[in-house]
Amino acid sequence: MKDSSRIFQSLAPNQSGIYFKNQLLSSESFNILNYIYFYNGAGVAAADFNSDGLIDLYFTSNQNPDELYLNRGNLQFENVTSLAGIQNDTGWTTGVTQVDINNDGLLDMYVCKLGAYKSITGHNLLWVNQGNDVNGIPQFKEESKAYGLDIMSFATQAAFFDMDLDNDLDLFLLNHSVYPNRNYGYGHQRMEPDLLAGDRLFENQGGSYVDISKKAGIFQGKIGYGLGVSIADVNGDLYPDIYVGNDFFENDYLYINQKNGTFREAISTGKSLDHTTHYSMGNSIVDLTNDGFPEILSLDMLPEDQVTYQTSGMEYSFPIYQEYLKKGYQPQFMQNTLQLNWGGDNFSEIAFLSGIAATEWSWAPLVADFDNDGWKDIYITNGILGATNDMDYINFISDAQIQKQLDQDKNTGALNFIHKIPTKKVSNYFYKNNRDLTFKDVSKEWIKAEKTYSNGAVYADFDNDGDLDIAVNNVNDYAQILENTSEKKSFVQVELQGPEGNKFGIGSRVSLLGKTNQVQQLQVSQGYLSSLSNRLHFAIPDTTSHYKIQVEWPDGKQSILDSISFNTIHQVNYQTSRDTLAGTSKKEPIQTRFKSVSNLISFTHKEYQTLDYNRQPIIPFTFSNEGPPLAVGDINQDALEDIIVGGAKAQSTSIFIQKADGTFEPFQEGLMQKDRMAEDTALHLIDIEGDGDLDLLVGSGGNEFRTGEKLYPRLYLNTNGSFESPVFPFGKIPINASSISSADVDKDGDLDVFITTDIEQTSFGIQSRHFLFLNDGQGNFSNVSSKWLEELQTLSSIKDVQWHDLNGDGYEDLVVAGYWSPISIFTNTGDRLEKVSETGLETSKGWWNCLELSDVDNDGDLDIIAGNWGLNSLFKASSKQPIHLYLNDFDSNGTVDPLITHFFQDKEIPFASKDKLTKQMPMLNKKFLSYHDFANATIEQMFGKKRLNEAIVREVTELRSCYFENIDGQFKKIPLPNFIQMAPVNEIVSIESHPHFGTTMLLLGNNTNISTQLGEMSANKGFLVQYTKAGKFSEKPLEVLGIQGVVQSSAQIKINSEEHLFFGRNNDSIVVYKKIKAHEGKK
Amino acid sequence: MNKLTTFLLAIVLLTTACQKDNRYQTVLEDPTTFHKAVDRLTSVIVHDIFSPPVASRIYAYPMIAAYEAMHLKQPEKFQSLAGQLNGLSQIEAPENPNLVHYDLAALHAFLTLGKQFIFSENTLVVFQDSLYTELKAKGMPRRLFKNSIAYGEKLASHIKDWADGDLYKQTRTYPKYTIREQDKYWKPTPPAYMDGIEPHWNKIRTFVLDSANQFVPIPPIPFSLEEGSPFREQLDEVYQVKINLTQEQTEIASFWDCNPYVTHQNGHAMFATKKITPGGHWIGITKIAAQKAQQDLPTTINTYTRVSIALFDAFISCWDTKWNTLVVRPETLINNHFDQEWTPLLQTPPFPEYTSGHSVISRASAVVLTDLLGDNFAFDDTTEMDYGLPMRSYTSFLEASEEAAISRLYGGIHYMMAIEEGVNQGQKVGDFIVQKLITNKNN
Repeated sequence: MKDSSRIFQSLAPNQSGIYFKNQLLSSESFNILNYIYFYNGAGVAAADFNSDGLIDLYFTSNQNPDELYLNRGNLQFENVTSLAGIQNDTGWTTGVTQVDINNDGLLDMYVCKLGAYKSITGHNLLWVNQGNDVNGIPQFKEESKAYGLDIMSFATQAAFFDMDLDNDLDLFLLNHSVYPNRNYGYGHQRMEPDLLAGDRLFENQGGSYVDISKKAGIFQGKIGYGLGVSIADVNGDLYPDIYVGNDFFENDYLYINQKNGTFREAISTGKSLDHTTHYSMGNSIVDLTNDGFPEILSLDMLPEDQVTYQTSGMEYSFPIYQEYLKKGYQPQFMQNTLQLNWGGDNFSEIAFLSGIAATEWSWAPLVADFDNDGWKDIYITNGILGATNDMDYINFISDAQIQKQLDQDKNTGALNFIHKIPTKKVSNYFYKNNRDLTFKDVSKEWIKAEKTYSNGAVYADFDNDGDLDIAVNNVNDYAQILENTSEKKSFVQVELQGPEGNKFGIGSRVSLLGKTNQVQQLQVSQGYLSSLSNRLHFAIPDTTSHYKIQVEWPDGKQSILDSISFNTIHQVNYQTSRDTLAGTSKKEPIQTRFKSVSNLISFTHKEYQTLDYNRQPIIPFTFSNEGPPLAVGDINQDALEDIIVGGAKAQSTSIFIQKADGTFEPFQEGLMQKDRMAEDTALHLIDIEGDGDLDLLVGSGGNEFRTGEKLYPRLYLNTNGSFESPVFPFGKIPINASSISSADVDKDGDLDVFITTDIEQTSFGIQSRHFLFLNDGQGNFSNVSSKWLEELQTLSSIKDVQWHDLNGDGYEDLVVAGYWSPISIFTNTGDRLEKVSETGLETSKGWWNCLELSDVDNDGDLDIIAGNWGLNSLFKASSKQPIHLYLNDFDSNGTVDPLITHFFQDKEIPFASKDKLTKQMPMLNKKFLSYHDFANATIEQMFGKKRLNEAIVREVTELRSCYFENIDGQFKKIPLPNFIQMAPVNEIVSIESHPHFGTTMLLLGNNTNISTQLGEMSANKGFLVQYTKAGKFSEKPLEVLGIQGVVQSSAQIKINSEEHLFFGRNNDSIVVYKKIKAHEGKK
Repeated sequence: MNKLTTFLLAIVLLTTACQKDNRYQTVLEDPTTFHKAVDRLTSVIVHDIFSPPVASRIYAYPMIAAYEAMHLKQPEKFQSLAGQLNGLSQIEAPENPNLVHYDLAALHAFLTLGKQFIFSENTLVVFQDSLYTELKAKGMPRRLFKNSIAYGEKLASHIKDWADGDLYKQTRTYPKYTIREQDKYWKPTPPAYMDGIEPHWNKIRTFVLDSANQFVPIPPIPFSLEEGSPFREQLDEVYQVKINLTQEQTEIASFWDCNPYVTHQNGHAMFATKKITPGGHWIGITKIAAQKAQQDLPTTINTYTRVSIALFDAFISCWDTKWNTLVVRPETLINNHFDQEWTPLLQTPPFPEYTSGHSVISRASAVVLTDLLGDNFAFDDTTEMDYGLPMRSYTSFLEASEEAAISRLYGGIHYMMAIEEGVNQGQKVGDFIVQKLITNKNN
């Protein structure tokens, strides 16, 4: 029955003629317990095998015969498997790739198989197309041996591509380890080749395939559980690069083509991708932003369903996770990852921001323009017959009886045991591209939900009606054809006639150039175990415009089709191509305003491992990764600006003096030694006694110490251009300092000191106290906090402050950013700080890290830019569905528990996993021993209504970094564009505020010390943001600095009369950029 | 049937019919009833996955409650534990002792506390309900029943109040172990890399020992991986033992595995197998011994209680050593330095190596049992048969404890030093308890 309200209609077997099923049957000798990928499903290839202009289908079956279907038009398919001479019914089959192996213009198939393993034997099969017989049925012969491709390995999927641009097709063969992963060992095992499990690269040398894996730099270790491979040129140099998704703890691999027959793997060698999928399945490299640089999408198994989420195994805890990293692995998290490509060198992982991070146990991503609007959408297959990560199953359902059988005889018990494994039969996902880095889940709108175990899938226009249909290979269910019935829009399709050795032009980059550009690279191994057709499809979103097709052939030559007609298939022949200067088409990322300067100061901030999660395992983030703070001023009075960098615990704060030649040299190195155990988190250069030189105030904190000397603020008085030994100017008050600032609050002509805190030491969420000390002009201070700060003390956690006389009464007022509260303004009445109410800021309680006051819209008043947590984590928050912190002693053991909850699919659930919560509060197990009971309970049932009501409650209602426009003292909230929301903003630097050149600012940040359940937020690469007009900002960064890591501080210094920006990165070195005048840069 | 038998039978029937139905007495006095209750508790401990030290706590408090009832039943024979166990005060005797059946009070207190200490109460609830129905059916007077239950409740709550002061609750939120970088320190082990179990167990109040560190073993052999160094020899021994492992050694290691939660990980397929804890195994041996010695109910409870107390204190003593010495497990060193693939025969349990918990607690239990039942008390250990392992026979408790100790070397999870010193530690704990704790006054 057709359901006309939806774009896609799933065709039943009697409609499509496809009766293929990937039927799985566990046996005593072969099952999930002895082959770890028993439930991983099989693939499908789309290709016009009989050259009739209709795209046919080949389905692989793990245990049963593969099936070939000819497309008879109108979405009618005919099973011609045996007529075509195909017989693949032994062993275990995985992926399939269509390729013209012998360049006869007929498409062949390369089928991957599990080689010698347990009872299974086999080798990969090459079905070479011999041409059609008299009945028009293509005839195939298995000729893998003749081509040297009868490879026996644990093969997953093959990808044919022209790695060296010599106009023939080379082969990357993805293999998967089958060894039990009891102990991951060290990452360097990836260097030790394993003949069966290791991936392989073959160079086509005159028609024979030569294994060049080792020479080419391909990792071949047995820790490579390769489940997905995609090929594309990610950095715009024409040479194809390779992405490999590895299951479990081995990194994914991003092989960057070095243009000399070798590859440099970029994930293990550097920080080219900040993190990847942990349990990587299929992947795809396709341009989702229409900027010509393809994104990398890799799938994982994070559940979107709340009950599944809370009953499934979760990511390793932070401390254990750190141990893994030390063994030579890069960060990976259990979530889909979308690597946004900033031009080939920088990537930002934005799956949570994009809304596609959690799609259950996922296999194939198909990225294509399904609704013909010119922007590519996403289809994701998922589901698994044996969801072996169900915690109730692991702990309770796999009961003693079965276990006993298992212990006695691994084989006979196995099937009983296996049949109790829970299944996860779920609907596949459709996401529509919102064109702003986010996607809308349209699964229900676009298709009638159907629960399946779906694995390999392909898209193609099977009925030649100008839109993309989908074919899906399902476990234990019929394969599906999803007919695209969307309303007809204009399109063009492109088929390539390539050079002699690459008849179908694999690797070509095809662009539809017009009002908006669309770029596709022809690489058919995408998704999961499957192979797309060679025909490229482009929607024409605006038929009134003029479009042309540009083909960049792998060898760099170009063909252009001008004034193309719509709604047809264009054939582009390599013969029409002409030479271009190699590489001219490379899109260079533009950096015109800032230039990276190699390290001017030798300082690397070094954090010890965080203890926060050991002390309080149920918190979402830490307060122990705050530094390094920076302070700038002329210390030695030589009219050159010097810089001070705060040291972490066990690291001295360091002073660097600028020399006349613009270099920096360490100064008074011994001075800070004594206090190196303190984690210095706030620096402030200030003339304390009014003697005309800069003294140094140092605040420590970082949640490292509970109390004592290491938390007393220190003062280093400046005498004749150098600092004296420190004193405690405020007495022996332990302060976990988050900021030190000064202002003449009482207008008596000297600077008074304000110190804020962000956490009561080692007690997440507990009210911490802030301090104001009045200066008597001689540097003697009196603590006036209780009188002046009475109202301010209600803010439990302050991260940043700005002093400014906002009301023009001559007294400096205060604006404050912090956690669990809105940006708050306090008027200085001369004897206290009075909270300003009804500012328009109140409803936006955030995890505000920083704020900047600046006249953004050039209307003569100061607006607020504030940096927040962002949207790129599991957390969402709104006034209706806030993040809550309940502080109470829920288990009556004398300790206050910080219970953090958030809304997950509209239900308020504890942030911490059941395992973590019950270790802290065993009584919870008494109520909810079963994970399913726990997942179905409300927080009232878990913790008691009374205890929750009696708790101190804090909340977060806004996670976005925002611009607050000052409209006559009222602030209007305007969230910053999506690219800013991809990470926490810790630092804002105003660059320009100019009526003519506009307002620009740099926003920087990131946070990697967050719970492993939330992922990791490291997508901010240093973004220059431009205010355009009328409360709007540019949707793309004006410039991407390319800074990796967590920026916590910045400082501006003039060197040789040129402005430089210094950025302090947590647990990392200081990076420096020279500012190029904006109008110079614009030339 | 001859005439005489018929006659006797008639008399019996007649007597039962005319006199009060006292069959409930038999049920209560039969130690099998109590053994069954203990077995049920063990099965819940296994199901709910309690770690070995926590399991020892779950056995101990309910046993002590039951014992106090036996003391009230036979004050002339059994001395109260009040004043003998740290912080335990005397419970008020019932107002009308004649209206309390102490056997039932003991059972009820045991079950009530048992339910409070575990998670899944249902197994115990079902057992209790059917037992109580049977007692009523077998003639237990309502009033006697009610009063006994009431007193059992009182006993349970007295013990519960005392237990609440042992710092168990507070230690739940004490900091977790911070993984230390150096090779010599303990690190979480494959495959689950679980957090270290109970790093603050030495803060739990002891029963008889004056403190967790009353019997501190000699320090572990100084860490060194240098070939020929004493520590390296310990490590090499573990490695060599696995290479040369005999069938019997394999059986011994498996028999004494007693790991309550073994994670099996095979790709994405994970499951856990669960066994009784080391303490649970010795509770099982206690049952076998008590039955073999045909101990009556009060004596049975006395035996259980003394063993439970020894287990509880032995775990605290051992855990104090473990989390102070922080010795790394052989598996970690062998994987990191010699053989990435090496796995021990048994799964390494999630806490530091030195001293061997099984060695300490087995020895302490054996010392206590030997004191009660004598050396050369031969028995067939069928404790693990429910978990798919065969019976093993021993000529004495000490022999069994020796085998439990050495099994950890065969299992590849302990160095010899932790076994030898663990046995010494257990001996000291056991001796001290035997000497200090007075229960059966006639002994």
